[in-house]
Amino acid sequence: MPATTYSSPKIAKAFSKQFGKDIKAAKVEMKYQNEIGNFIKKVENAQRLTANSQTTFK
Amino acid sequence: MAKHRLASSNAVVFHNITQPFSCFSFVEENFHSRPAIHRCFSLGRAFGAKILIQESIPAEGFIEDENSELKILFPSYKCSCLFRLSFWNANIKSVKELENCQDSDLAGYAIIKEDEISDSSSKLFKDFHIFEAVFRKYPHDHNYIPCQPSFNVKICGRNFRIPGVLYCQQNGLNKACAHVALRSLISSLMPEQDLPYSFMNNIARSLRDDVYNPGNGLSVEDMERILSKLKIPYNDLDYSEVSKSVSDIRTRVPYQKYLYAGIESGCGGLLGFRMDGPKAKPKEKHIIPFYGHTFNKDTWTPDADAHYFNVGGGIGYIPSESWTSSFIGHDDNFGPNFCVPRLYVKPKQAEYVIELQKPKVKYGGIIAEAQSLQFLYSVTETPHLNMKNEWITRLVFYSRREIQKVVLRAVCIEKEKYLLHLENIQDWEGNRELTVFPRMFSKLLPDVLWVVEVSLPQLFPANERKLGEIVMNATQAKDKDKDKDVDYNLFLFARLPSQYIILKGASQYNNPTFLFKSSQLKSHVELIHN
Repeated sequence: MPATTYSSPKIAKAFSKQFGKDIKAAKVEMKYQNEIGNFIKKVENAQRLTANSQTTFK
Repeated sequence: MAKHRLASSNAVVFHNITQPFSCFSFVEENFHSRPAIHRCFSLGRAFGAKILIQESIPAEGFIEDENSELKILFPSYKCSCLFRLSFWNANIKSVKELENCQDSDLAGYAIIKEDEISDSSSKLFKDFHIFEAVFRKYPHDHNYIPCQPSFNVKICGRNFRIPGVLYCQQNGLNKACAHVALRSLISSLMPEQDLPYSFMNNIARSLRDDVYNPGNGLSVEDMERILSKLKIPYNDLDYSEVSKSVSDIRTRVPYQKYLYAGIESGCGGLLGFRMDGPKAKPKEKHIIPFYGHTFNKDTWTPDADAHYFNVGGGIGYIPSESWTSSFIGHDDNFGPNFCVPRLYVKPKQAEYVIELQKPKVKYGGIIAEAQSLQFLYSVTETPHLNMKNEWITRLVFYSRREIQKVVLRAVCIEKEKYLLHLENIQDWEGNRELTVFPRMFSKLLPDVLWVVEVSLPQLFPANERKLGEIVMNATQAKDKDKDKDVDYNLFLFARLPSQYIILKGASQYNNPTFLFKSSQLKSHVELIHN
């Protein structure tokens, strides 16, 4: 995971420090990974194909 | 500074436009029945305007800049008329009486210009167009315009401010529909700066080896470069180009998603479309700006149309734009502030869409909504949610695979606005959030956020309230290496009734660990008003 200035893990760390035992942790199985991933890929590809298009409006 | 709006008048005429004054006759006799000018008079009428002030003004600022550009393009060019028309609700008869008028008495103004090109023997071109106009939005509760800057305009030597979205019209000489559509939206994002057409034309000219004719319009590449030069982020999709390789792109990624995300974020969007009908020329493409939408809580569609935006694999939800009957925008051919039915432009006609974004934003509302949908439908299947809370129980029910009728609304807002929202909201029982949360978030959130609001049918349209929101980092680009995966690094946290949910670590992509912390907000709260 690349280091980022703002991220959920950083918020998680701050919450753990602030609230200690008031926090519960649990693993969550992520659903629809492929469906959403493919959809996002499709959108991003479409936007990539759009760049520098010569379609003109007058 | 928009000097052209502050030009002093050379001559002034006050027209009483109450009955039996005929706007039709006036526009026919003075402005060749131009439809967009008729529209301005109709708006004046609709606001109950009593007086029209007609001023002759000199070409200053951007108008002078335009005239210089036209003189280079057409050496015989001259600006034969330049009028500023303003519509007043007050019954004023003289410049002196105008001194008692308030900004609120001004319904709108239009600067009308006549361009003329001739050779030694005859006039080649002579026509009126609206250089710019600003009219107030209708006070209808259903009309929603998130970003309405105020424009400073001088009338009879006095400065007035009027809120609205700048309307501009093409003249087919140095500007076409794409130029004026862009200027409308850009002037809302940078009201103090505005933008001369020569700026756009110089960029378009620099991209070509051959001769550039601005009257022939702007290409997608031109528009992209202009926005990049102004550091305005955007997301765009050229359906005519992409459909060559992805035949179902128009239905898979509908243009309405882009327009709505741009509008809700206060930046607006442009829609380029092909003309339809027996007389339409196949290559004729028009583009218009949208900056608002109507909201009709009694719209029938949402219940019937839950899978309208089906991201694939049977993942359904109800996008909040389902309650939008019309987008509000300008059509430079016909005038300002029109409601265009959301489904009026058919998918096959849509050629191009562009969603403008706030500074620093790296991805669009369509991605934010899709990622938050995955997050929501994953956590609502876990046993870790507080099922003792009846609103969580309802959310889980509406998220079930066989139902999936959760309402999502993606809004891009600044951190400060979100924190203020979190401080101010109250749940249905009157509970407020503990101040420790906004205080902590103020140090942990980036400047701009995608906030995807989560609601339910009935709760969203009738009450304009929500159960919570999924908050994402709008300023970070999606990790390109994770081409096929969802990028969890964009996710910051979610707030649902009685619970915050925070991702502890994203190293295990299929089973990440989340933290659950209680919240004081136990039920539904008001939506964000951008």
